[in-house]
Formats: sequence, C-alpha cells, structure tokens
Amino acid sequence: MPTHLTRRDILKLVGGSAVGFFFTPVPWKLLDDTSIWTQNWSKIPPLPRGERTTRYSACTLCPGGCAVRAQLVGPMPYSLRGVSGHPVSRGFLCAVGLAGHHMAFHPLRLASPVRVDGAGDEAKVVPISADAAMRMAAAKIREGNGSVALLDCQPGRAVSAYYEDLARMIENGLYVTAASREDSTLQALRSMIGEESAPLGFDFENTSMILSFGAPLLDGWGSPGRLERLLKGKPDRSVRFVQVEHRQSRTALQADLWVPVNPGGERALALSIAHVLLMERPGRRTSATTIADMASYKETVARYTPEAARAESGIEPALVRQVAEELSIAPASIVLSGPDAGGGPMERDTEYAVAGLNLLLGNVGKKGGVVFLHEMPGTAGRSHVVRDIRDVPDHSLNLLIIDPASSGYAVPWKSLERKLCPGTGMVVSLAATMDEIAAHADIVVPAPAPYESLQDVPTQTGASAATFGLSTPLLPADKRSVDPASFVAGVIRLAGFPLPVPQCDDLLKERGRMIHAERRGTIYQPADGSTVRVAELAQFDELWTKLAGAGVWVDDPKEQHEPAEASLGASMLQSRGGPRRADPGLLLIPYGYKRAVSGAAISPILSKLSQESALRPGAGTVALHPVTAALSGVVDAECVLLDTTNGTMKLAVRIDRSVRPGVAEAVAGPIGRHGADIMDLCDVREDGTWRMTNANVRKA
Amino acid sequence: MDSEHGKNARFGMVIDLDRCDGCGACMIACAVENNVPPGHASATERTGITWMRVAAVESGQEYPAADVAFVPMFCQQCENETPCISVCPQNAVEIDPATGIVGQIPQRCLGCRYCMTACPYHARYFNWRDPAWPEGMDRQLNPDVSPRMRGVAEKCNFCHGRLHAAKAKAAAKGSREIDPADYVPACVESCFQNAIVFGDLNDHESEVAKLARGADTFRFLSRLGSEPKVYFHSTRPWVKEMAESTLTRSKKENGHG
Repeated sequence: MPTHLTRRDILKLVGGSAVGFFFTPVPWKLLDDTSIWTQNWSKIPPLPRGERTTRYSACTLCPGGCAVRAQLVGPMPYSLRGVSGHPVSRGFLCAVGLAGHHMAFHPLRLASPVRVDGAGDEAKVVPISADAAMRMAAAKIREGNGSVALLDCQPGRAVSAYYEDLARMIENGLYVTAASREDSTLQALRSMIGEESAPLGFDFENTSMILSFGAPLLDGWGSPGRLERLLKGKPDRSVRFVQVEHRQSRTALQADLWVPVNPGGERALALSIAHVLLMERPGRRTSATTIADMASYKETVARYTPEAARAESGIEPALVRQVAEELSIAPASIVLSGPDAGGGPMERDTEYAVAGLNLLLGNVGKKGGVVFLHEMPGTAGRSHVVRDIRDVPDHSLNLLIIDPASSGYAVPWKSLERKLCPGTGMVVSLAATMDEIAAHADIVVPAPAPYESLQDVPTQTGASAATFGLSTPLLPADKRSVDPASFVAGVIRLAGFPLPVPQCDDLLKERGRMIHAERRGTIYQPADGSTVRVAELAQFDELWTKLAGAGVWVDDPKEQHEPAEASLGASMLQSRGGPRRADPGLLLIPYGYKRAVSGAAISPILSKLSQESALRPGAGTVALHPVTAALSGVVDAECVLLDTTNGTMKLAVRIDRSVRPGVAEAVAGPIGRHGADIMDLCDVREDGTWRMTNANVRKA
Repeated sequence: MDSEHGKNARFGMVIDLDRCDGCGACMIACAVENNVPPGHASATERTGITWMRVAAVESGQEYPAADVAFVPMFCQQCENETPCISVCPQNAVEIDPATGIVGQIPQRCLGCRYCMTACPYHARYFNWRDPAWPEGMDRQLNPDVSPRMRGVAEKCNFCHGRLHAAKAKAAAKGSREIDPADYVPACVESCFQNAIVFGDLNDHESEVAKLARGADTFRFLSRLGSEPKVYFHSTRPWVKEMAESTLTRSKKENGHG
C-alpha cells in the first residue's frame, strides 16, 4: 500500500484532530477541573479530627445561667445545645449562647494587659505586664484622693462576696453594681417592707396573672427558659399575661394583652390602676399587711383617676379599669417592672409605683405572688445590699475596677464617666475582649473568656428558690488571661492591705461547703437528669463532684408569710406631683437585645441575625413610622442625620408601621461594622436612666 | 428509608408561625452546625449566607394594631419539577429518592447561579468569597460537614451530616431504619418554642404528617405546583394570604396590603 503523505493529509489530520478534540471528554474535563481548582486554590480550613465527647457546663454570657451540653472534638467544643429538664434553664439556650464557645477566638480578644495613653483618635495602646497594671492601680488607691470602687455587673456570685469584703478593707472602698435592674420591683419591695436583705422571688409557676411594665419577660429576662416555657404560645398558656410597654417588642407581641402606654407614662398608668383598686373597687383583694403611709398614698392616687392619667399614660380609662378588674379578681397575681436591654431602667418612682401594686393586691409572701426565699448559704445579710453605681456621687471615684462579668444589659460609658474624679479618675477594666467599656478604660487586663475557667452562676432574677451552679471549662485555659479575683486582691495587697490572694476555685468551694453544711435543697445532674438531696450526701466531696459535673443546686422553698408592715413609698411618689402631659416632640428611644447590646462583643457568627438578614435591625439604622418620616421629609433607606443635644449621627432610615408615631427607635446594637453607637446620642440623666431623649431627624 | 423495599421516606417540616417568636436561635444553630462562616464585613442581606433565614413580616396595619409574623425561610425541598434541579447544567442538585431531600453537590457546581434565579423562595446562596473564620474558630468547625469553596451555590439540606450520623448509628445496630429521635436538624433542636416539627411525611402516623394534613396548614407559593415538603401553620388569615403573595426578602418589602 503506497504511503504518500502529502501536506494536505497533514493539514487534514491536524484539522480533524482539532475538531475531534472537542468531541472527546478532555476539554470538558479540563473545564470542570479548572473550575474546581479555582474554587479550591485558597485555603479551605481542614476539619478538626479527634475523639468525640460530650460535656456539660453553663453559659456565663449573662446571669441567665442556661445549662449547655457541649459536643467536643478533641479539646475543642464545636456545638452547644440546651439541656432539657434542667431546673433553671429548662432546655433554653439563646442565639447568642449557641455561639458562646466562639468568644475565646473573638477578633477583639485581648492578648495582654494594655495601658491606654491619650484619648480619642490620638489614644495609644501600650502593652504592659499584669504586675505593672497592678502597681498603677495600687498607686491610685494609695493616693487616697477620692473613692475606690469595684464594679460587679453580676452580683450574687461567690466572687461578688469576696469583692464586697475587699472593698470594706479599703478606706473609701465601695462595692457597686451596674446590674440590669431586672429585679427593680424586688428591690423596691424590700425597701417597702423594711427588709433590705430579704431574698425575694416571683412564684410565676403558681400565679394566674402577670402584669409587666416593660420587663422583657420573653426576651431574656431572668432565667429565660423559665418564662419562655411558662408563657410559650398563647393557646397553651395557663396564666394571663399583660404587657405594658411603649414599643411593640417581642414580649409585647406575644402577650395576651399589650397596653401601648406612652413613653414615660408607666408611672401614671400604675397609679391609675392603684386608683381603681383603692377608690373604685376597695376590698376586692385583702392583705394582712398594714400600710404605714396609706393616707398619703391615697392622697397621691386620688389625683390619678384613669381619666386624669390618660394625658400622661395615653391609655383609655376603660382599658385601665379592665386591667384593674382582672387583677382584683385573679386568685394570684404578680406585677413587675423591668428595663429594656438597651433602653435601660425606668425611673425609680415608676419602679415604686409598680411595686406598690403588689402590696395593694396582697401579693407579697403568698403562693403565686412575690415569695420569700431562704438566704443563699454564706451570704446572709449582704448579697442584696449592694450599692448601685447610679447612687455614687458624681466626680467621686479615683479608681474604678470593672469585673468582666456582664449583666447582658447596656451600661453607657457616660453613666460611668460622670462618677470619675475629673482628670485623675482611673478606670481598670478586666475584660476578655476589647468591648465598649474596655475601649474607654485607662488600663485593660485580659480576663478568661467564657468556658475557659471555672465560674459560678448566681441565682437568677426572680427565681423562686436560690440556686448555685458551676460553669465548668470546656476550652483550654488561655495563659495570657488573668484571674479577676486574684488581680483585684493583688492590687489591694500592693496598696498596703495584707491579705491572702485566693484562687477562684477556693471561693467556689467555700460556697459549696456552706451549702453542704446547710443540708437544704437538691442537686440536679444534667448528664443523667437525676436529682439527689444534699442531706443524703455525707461528704462535701460528693457534693463538689456533682457540682463539678455542671450540676446545679436548687434550694428548698421557704414557708411564706405576709409582711406585717410596709410602706408604699408615698413620699417618693408625691415628689412629681400630678399627671403630666406627654412631650409632643420627637423622642429617640433606644432598645436592645439582652447580651447583644451596645458595647458587648458577641460571636462573629451573629452577623447572620443583623447584617446578613433583616431579623434584628443592626446598629446604624433608625426606625420611623411613615407619618413621622413624612413629617421629617425622609423616605425609606435614606441616610438621615439624627440630632440630639449630645451630637449628631448619620443613620439609615427604616420605615416601620409598627413604630409609634413621634418616636425614633434605634437599636443599641453590639459592636458592629457601622461603628455607630446610639448611646452616644442619649441623655444619661442623674438618676441613671436614658430611656428617652428629645431628638430631631433631618435629611443628610 | 429502604428504597429497595419500597419504604422511601419524605422528610419534611411543619412550622407553626404563631409560635415562632423570631429569636433567631435556629439561624445561629444552622450556621454553627453546617459550618457557614461569619459574614464578611461587606456582606449584606443579598450577599450573606443564611441557609435558614427568619423574616419579620408585617401585617400592614398601623401602630398599635400592627401585627408581625416571623417566617423562617429556607430550602422548601420541592418535590415536583424542582426548579433548581431542572435548571442546573451540571447535575449539581439532586433529589435523594430515599429521603426526598434536595441535595447540593458543591464539587459539581460551576457557580452559574442559575439555580438561585430559579428558586422561588430565594433559599439559595452563593459563596462570593472563600469561607473564612477568625483564627482559632476554624478549629471549632463541625467535623461532619465540609466547608464549601468559593464560587459554588449552597442551601439547606436538612442537616445532611446528622442524617449520615443517624444512618451510621442505625447501621451499627444492624438496622437500615434510622430512629427518628436520632435525626433532628439543628434548627428543630434549637427551637425552644417547639415551632418546628420535623419527620417523615410518608409515615402517616408521625406528628409531622398529621400536622401537614391539619387545618390552617399551608405552603408558600403553592400555586407554582412545586410541592414543597415544608409546611407552615397559622390561624391568622393575613399570614395565610401572605403565603401566596410574592415572597421577597426584607421586612419592608414583605408589608402586606
């Protein structure tokens, strides 16, 4: 066969090959592989490998004390869940808590103690040693120029009692809190019945009606699982739940009845309810308590007929009478007030006006009402007598040391700054991350992140029995962080007060020993759901072993009795005079979500809630009713300037029909990419409130 | 579960919108479980990745009569003419006949995003960036779920890692049937309000099947005929009407009326 290869044949072969190539899988495979290579050329994190284990602990991101079941691979937790059947949290774990194990690796985690030189944009952060930080703080104590305060936002812990003892050792030493004031009603009632140290709680489980003035009962209040379980789903609810609140919060949305009171009108509404109970329906509920100042109280409430109070409260008289009627016929009821996580506490006279309704209704010392608790062992007479930082005189603190524990509620920097001696006051913040308060401090000392150290969980606000649990470590300890109790004790030693420096574990064990000595209550163990009476544990070690397994001690209920005498705080209520008309101007009202409020650092994964979805409007936005927006001449998504006497901020408008007309709602959100903290615009008043600020919105 | 014996499952959900209080725990539990990274600083509602996304939908009434429903929206696991399957040029989306779960296979995905356009529920997300976690957090990833690479689409798969774990547990016992208690998606587990019920719709005695047949239960955009396996429940008429209106992404756009 002749093989005469011509140029034409070669060209045909090449051409045919080129065409045929596209009918082979090769180009398509190359295309596919190229896409995969380009998808994979960057670093995809390798998955962790190791033994899978399950451990139990408790969340300490707020005082709620939710139990967690953690799944670990090797030494690292990768998943947290609630523990169903737990007597405190009932299986609840909030969105922030579900990512609590991330906090140890937060981008704002502190690596070493730092000193902040200068202020504002010119501030310089200089790393220092922990010893140097202690020496600088001790020097301030030795100066003796003003007071020294230890600020504890989670009072009731074992370390809290220790701080209290330390503060007592120093001349001008103060142990203060900037607690959430979730327990404002209980605080007021303690004062009213003259038992300042009496532990009180709410018997929600046996009540038939709850009247809440602004307390976010279904948004993180107290131990969230307790109320979420009790008040879940209207159809299944066994208790009547009425929420008085000026904004349509998640709690208001889920209440049986939402009473949309005017901002600041809660006091007038509470007094008008008292008016109906005392003047229009006397004798429907009886109380064995003698009210010392009943005459002057009646004089005050006489001015608050539902009709007269309407101008201030904004509530129709018929609705006031309906709520009062329901309260008067309910077999057991609870009336309470509470702060918003971002909006802060109510005025003190409002807290008294609300708390007094419990005494009028005979709720105190009764099943289904406000109940007395046994003292937490080892805390008799002191754990409830804490001084709120808002009662500390302005410009009086030379040194303020801030414990890292968070109340979950906003603490505006302005509320702390005004307490410092001008020019000389020093702030030492112990913090795991560079949060809002730490960013303003003179010295910042790194503290353990959640799940890095053994901590105790205090009794939750409103609990009907004292509890004590441990948050056991799930993560390896970070050697760069400093134990807060040891640091504070070290400072005081260096200041010239010789005392042994304890470890946190010793303080916790001491409280455990006291619980064992009292022999009251039961211990629940999350691993198997079993309970055991403390009285059955012969040795302390047995009790400690169970607590160290993330068990929780729950005290026995106390026998109830109505207080013999009480006052209703009439003199405080009289100080404001009669009902007032609501301010007609635009009001800036901040609000927030517990533990995700202004200044707090939260897991970066929480971006899913605000940044990557519209579920929780993030910082940097202001919500207006369409009518309010129209009056201001602004439209949805427009950038506007929000003015108050404290400054101006550029924000994006969100038109929302559920916002009250005449109000600008802004979330006091966590540290975000926008960098706008609405707290900077709020008036922080002398009484420590910042609920409302007169404002103006204009086009940017 | 056993396709050879004709006992295929159809996993589905019923979500009670009257119980959902918008706490967002399901969104976070989902992201942690499925190794969805935190949003980049520039991520927005349109570019972020939230397999489970809860939308706050207003009734359109004025304060104080305004009502809000919180609607968890995620892959509805369409059974009929599944839009994302029909448009995928790479066969990167498949429906598992043994479970009814619509699965996404990132290794096959070319990143054309046709599926995102086709999905009537906006339940698909695109990896615009490499998955990145802050240093140290990458050691806390769920070891059962691979992170997806840049340039591919992804979506809810009813926690496929948990399905595999349940299968492995059943296999260890010598069974091919998984125990329903062993297979619970993360969002269901994290919902304290018990607003989400999950299970096999083919098991007529299961709670989910009973609820799916119950009164006031409906599906979003049922007029499209794609037969989603995710049902919703509400006694509020405006919520049911909203389910048939155009589903858009944000609260302001979802205003009813």
